[in-house]
Amino acid sequence: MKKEAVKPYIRCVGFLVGLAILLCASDYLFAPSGYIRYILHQISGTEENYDTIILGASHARTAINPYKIDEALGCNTINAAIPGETIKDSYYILKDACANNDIQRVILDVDYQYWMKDQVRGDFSEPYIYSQMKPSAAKLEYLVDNMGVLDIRNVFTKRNSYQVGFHSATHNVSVKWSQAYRDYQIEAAEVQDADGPYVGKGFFFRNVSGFNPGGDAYVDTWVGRAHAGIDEHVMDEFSQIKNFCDANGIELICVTTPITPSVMEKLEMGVVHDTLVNDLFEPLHVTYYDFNMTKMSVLPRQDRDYGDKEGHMGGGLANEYSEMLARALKEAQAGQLHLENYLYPSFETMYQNMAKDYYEVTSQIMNAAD
Amino acid sequence: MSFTTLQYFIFLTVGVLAYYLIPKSKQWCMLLLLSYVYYCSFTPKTVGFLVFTTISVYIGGRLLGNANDLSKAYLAEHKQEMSKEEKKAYKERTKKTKRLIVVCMLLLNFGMLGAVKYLNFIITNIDAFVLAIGHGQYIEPTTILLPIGISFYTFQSISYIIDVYQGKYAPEKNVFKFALFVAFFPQLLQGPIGRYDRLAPQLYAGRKFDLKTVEFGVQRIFWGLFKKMVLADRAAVLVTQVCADYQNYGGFYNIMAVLMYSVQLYADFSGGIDVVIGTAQLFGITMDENFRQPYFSKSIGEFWRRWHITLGTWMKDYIFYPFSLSKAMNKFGKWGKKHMGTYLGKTLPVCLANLLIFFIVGIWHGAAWKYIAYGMYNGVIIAVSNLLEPVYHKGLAACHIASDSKGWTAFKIFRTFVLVNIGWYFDIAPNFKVAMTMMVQSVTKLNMHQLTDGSMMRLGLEAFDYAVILFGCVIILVVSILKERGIAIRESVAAKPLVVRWCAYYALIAMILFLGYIGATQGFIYAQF
Repeated sequence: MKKEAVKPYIRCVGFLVGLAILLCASDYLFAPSGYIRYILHQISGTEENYDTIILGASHARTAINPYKIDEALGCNTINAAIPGETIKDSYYILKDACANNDIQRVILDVDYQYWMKDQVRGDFSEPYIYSQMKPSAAKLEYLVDNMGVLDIRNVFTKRNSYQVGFHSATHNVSVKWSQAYRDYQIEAAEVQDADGPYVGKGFFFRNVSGFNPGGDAYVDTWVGRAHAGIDEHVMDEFSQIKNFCDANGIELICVTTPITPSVMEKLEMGVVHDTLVNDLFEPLHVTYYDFNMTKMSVLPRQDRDYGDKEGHMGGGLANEYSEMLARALKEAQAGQLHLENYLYPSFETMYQNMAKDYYEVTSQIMNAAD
Repeated sequence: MSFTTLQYFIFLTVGVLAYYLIPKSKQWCMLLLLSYVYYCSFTPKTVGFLVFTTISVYIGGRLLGNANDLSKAYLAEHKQEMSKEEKKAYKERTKKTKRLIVVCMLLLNFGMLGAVKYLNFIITNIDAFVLAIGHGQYIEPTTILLPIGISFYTFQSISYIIDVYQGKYAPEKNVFKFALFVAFFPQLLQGPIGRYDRLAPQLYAGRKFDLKTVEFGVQRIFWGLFKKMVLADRAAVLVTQVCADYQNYGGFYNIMAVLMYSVQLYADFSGGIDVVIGTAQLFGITMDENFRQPYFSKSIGEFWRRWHITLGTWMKDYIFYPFSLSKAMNKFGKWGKKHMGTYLGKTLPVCLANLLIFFIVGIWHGAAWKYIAYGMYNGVIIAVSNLLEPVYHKGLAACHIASDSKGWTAFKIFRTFVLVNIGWYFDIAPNFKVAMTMMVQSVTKLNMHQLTDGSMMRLGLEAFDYAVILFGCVIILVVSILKERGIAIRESVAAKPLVVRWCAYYALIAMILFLGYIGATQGFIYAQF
C-alpha cells in the first residue's frame, strides 16, 4: 500500500531526471564552446594565481597586453575583458577571479558604450556570460541577484548561445570531443571576432588593414548620447565593484583606452569624461585615467591604427599603449605620476593640437629613421 | 515578478510547499501572504490602492449585510403589528439605504479607478479643447502611478458588492478572507475576473496535496508558456516593426501585421490565462475559463462570448441586464413598439445596451480614443446585426442558403475573423488617427509585389520564424478543434502509457526551449490594463 503511494513521486523524480538529461544534452549539442568558457577557466580553473585582472569589453581585450603590465610592474596579469561584458558582468567575473586568485589590483576599462544611458536591460542575451560560468559562489550570487529578470530558459541552460541546427550540433560535438576542448585550449574556443592571433593571457593581437577603417554607421548611432548622462544601473553596479574592492583591499584603477582620434570630437568624449569624473569617479574617490586625452607625443596614433572607427585597437598600437599604461601605473605606484606628462590639459586643447602634434612626432620618428 | 522569470518559479515552488505543509485551516492565510508578496514585487508603492478597494468594499458588504439582517429581524419582530403597506414602506426604505451604500461604493471605487486611469486622458482632452478655442490656460497632467491590475480587482470587487446588494450571498465577515478574494495573486494582473460565489469557497477551503492536480497545473503553465514564448513574442516583432514605421508600410505589410497581431494577442492573453489557471490549480483552485476557441466564432456577438469570457459575463450581468431591463428602457421599448413596430421596439433597447457595454469595454482597455473606437466598432456591428437580423434571414432564404450548412458556417467564421482583425487596427496603432491611416493604407498601398519581392522577410522575421508561427498555429488549431468537439485533451493524454505521456511533456518543453523566441522579451499585453 505504502509502495503504491510512493510510486507517483518516484515517477516524478524520474521525469525531472529525464528533463535534466534533456537540458544537458541540448547544451552539449547546441551551445558552442566559445571564448567565455576559455577565459573564465583561465581565471577560475587554473593555478596561475593572478594578482592583477583587467576587466572590460572588447576595447580592453584588444588594447591591453597583460605581458607589458607584468614586465613593468612585476605582477601576474590576466586580461579578462570579454566582448559584450557589461559592468554587471565585470562584478561577477571579479568575484569569481577573487575566489581563485589573490587579486591585488583591478584595471577596469571604461568604454563609453557600456556606461552611458540607456543601456538595454533585461533582454534575453543579458546573462550570456553568466550562463557560461562554472558552478561557483559568484554564479549563485548572480542567480540570486537577478532572479527577477532571468528568463527561466537561461537559468538551467545556455539557451542564449544556442544555434539550433544539425550542422551546428555535429560541429559542436566534434569540437567537444577534441583534446583541445578538454584541456581548455584557445583553439577549441574558435574565436571569430578578434581579427588576429591570440597572444595569451586574454590578449589578441588585432591585425589592421593599414587603410582608414570602416564602421561609421555604427559610430553615428552614438552621436549625441554623451549628454544623456551615466546609466543609473551602471552607477549602482560600479559601486558594487568599488565596495567589493574596498572591502577586500584591492586597488581599483579605472582607465579609458583611447579610441579612434577622428570620432572623439564627434562623440563628444570631453562631455563623457566630465560626466564620468563629476558624477561617478570623483564622488566615489576612484582613480581614473582617461587615456583618450593621451598626448600624440606620448602615443602617436591615427585611425589607421584601429580595426574600426568605434575604437578597437590594432595590435601594434595596443602594445605601445600597454607599455605606456604600464609605465603610468608604475609611476603611480611609486607616487611619481605626473599626468601632465601623458595627457593634454583638456579635450579642447587636444582637438586643436592633435593633428599637428601627430605630424610633428611622426616626422621626427621618420627623420630619426632616415 | 513576471511569469517567465526564475523568481516566479521559485516563488511558486516555495508557495506550493508552504501551502500544503501548514494546517488546512490556515492555508488561506498562506495564499493571502503569497498574494501580497506577489503584488509588492511589482510596485509596493501602489499596494495602498489594493488595500483601499479591499477595505472599502468589505465595509460596504458588511453594511449591506447588516441592513439585510436588521430589516429581516425588524420585520420578523413586528410581523403582527405592521400592515402590508407599512411593511412595503419599510422594505422600500431599506432598499433605499442599500442602494445608497452601493452607489457610494461604486462612486468610491470607480472614482479611484477613474482618477488613476482616466484623469490624464480627460485632462489631455480638455487641454486640446482649450487649445482649439485659443485659450491660454492649461491643466497639468497628474503624475499618479497606475496601480497594476486595478481594472481587474476593481471589477471583481464591484461584482461582489452588487451580488451582496442583490442578496445572492451573505457578505464575508472576515476582512482578511475578503482581502484574499480581491488579491488572489495568479489572477491579479490579467484576470480572469472571478466571482465570489465560485472562487471564495475554494480559496478558503483546506486541501490535501494531490499530485495529479499539481501535475495538471504544471502542464497548463507550460502550455501557456509555449503560447507566449513561441508564438506571441515572435509575432510581436513584426507587429512592432510595422506599427513603429507605419508611414513606410501599407498594403500587405499592414495586413500581415494585423494577422500577426491576432496570433500575438490570442497567444499572449490566452497563454497568460493558462499560466494563471495552471498556477491556481497548483493550489487546488479551479478558476473560470476566459477563452473558448474565439476564432471559431460565427459572429462578433459570439466572439465576445468566447473571448475574455469573464469580462463579457461581468458586463452582461452588471450592465447589460440592469440597463436593458431598467424602467427607462422598458418605457423606451414600449414607445418603440408603438411607433416602430414590435421587432424594433424589442431590439432597440438591446442595441442601446450593447452600445453602452462596448463603450465601457473599450474604455476599460485603456484611456485613449482608439480604445473607445475599438469598443464602439464592436458595439455597432452587434447592434446593426441585431437590427438587420430579419433582413438577413430573408436574404438567406431568398438565396436558398441553409444557415446551418458547413459552407455557410465556414463563411461566417471567416467573416467574423476578418471583422475581428479590422478591430485590431485600433489596438496595434499608437492612436486613433494612425489606426485609421493604417486601415486606409492597407487598401490604398496594396501591391502584389509586396508578397513576392522578399520584403516580407525584412519585417523582423525570417522564413524560420514564419514557419514556427505556422507550426504553432497548427498545434493550437488542432487543440482547439479537439476542445470544440468536447475532448478533454489533458485527461486523454493522462490516460496514455507513461512513455507516450512523458514524450508529449518533453516535446512541449523542448519546443519552448528550442522554438521560443529569444529576442527582446515582452511583458504580457493584458497586464497593462
